[in-house]
Amino acid sequence: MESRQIHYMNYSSSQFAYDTHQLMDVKSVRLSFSGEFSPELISVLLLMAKKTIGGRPVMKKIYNVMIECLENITKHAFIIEGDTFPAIFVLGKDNDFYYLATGNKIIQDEIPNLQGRLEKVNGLDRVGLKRWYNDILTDDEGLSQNGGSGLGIIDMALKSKHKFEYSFQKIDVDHSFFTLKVKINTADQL
Amino acid sequence: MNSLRIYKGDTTPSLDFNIETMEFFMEGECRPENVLTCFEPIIKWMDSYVDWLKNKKSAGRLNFNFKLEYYNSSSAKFIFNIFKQLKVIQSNGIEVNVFWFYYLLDEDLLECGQEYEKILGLKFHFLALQE
Repeated sequence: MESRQIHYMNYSSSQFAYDTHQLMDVKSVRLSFSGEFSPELISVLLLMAKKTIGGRPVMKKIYNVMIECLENITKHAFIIEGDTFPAIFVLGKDNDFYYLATGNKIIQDEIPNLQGRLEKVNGLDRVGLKRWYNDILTDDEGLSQNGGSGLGIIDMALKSKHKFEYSFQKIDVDHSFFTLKVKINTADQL
Repeated sequence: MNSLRIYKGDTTPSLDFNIETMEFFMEGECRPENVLTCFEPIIKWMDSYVDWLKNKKSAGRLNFNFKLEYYNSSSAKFIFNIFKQLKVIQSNGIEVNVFWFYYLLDEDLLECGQEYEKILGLKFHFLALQE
């Protein structure tokens, strides 16, 4: 731990910017932000995404999935109040698809539930996803304490038409860093 | 009973539910910061409207023009709730028609409408807009 601190102290900010640049595979990154996410910031990022991608049909789908991604970050950020561990959002483009990637700190106890839901989403086909979506839509349950309906990830999966890529990396005893990558075909005619 | 008129916000739609003409419009984008604050007044208004219509024993035709370009997943259940109330209105003797507007290439929004139609059994008309 001590050696790590020393390392950081000698670590110049320009070097950090360079390393991040290398690490992020910037050729594919169209838009990224790391830090504290707020509703105001979401609006700004959405506007920037629209400018970056332009008015192509695929933008509508990206826009929709992006809102869910960003809202997920702000919802979780709300739970871990006063925590400054930065969340990250990346919108990028590989050859065949756009991708939206998020990373944010979550409470360890949330993992089983979240992981279970992600596995379920990835295991279902389109018909199964729609059925699950409709079940939640029509039940009489209210929203969870962070304002989620549970529809978000199903909605994202329906729009993406790809399987989610995700991981949980332990930060400390009580927290993990949760990453999620959602893909959207560039040629998606919506 | 008064008509419901709500102006568009940065992340909230505009609503114009006119009880004289029975033309209802919901338009814009819906991703409110707080879904409860946004929808509670609307759901409450719909509840009173359902009762008011029933007591009046009115017949006639209600057109619901759904022109939302986007709504987030937290809003979905509330929007569905509005449709459920339309269904009650219909079973009380009013002919309800839903006009579901979507941009031609937005198959996601079209599909959502088609699912609603299936679940609710209301009469939906799908209208494609050119970008």
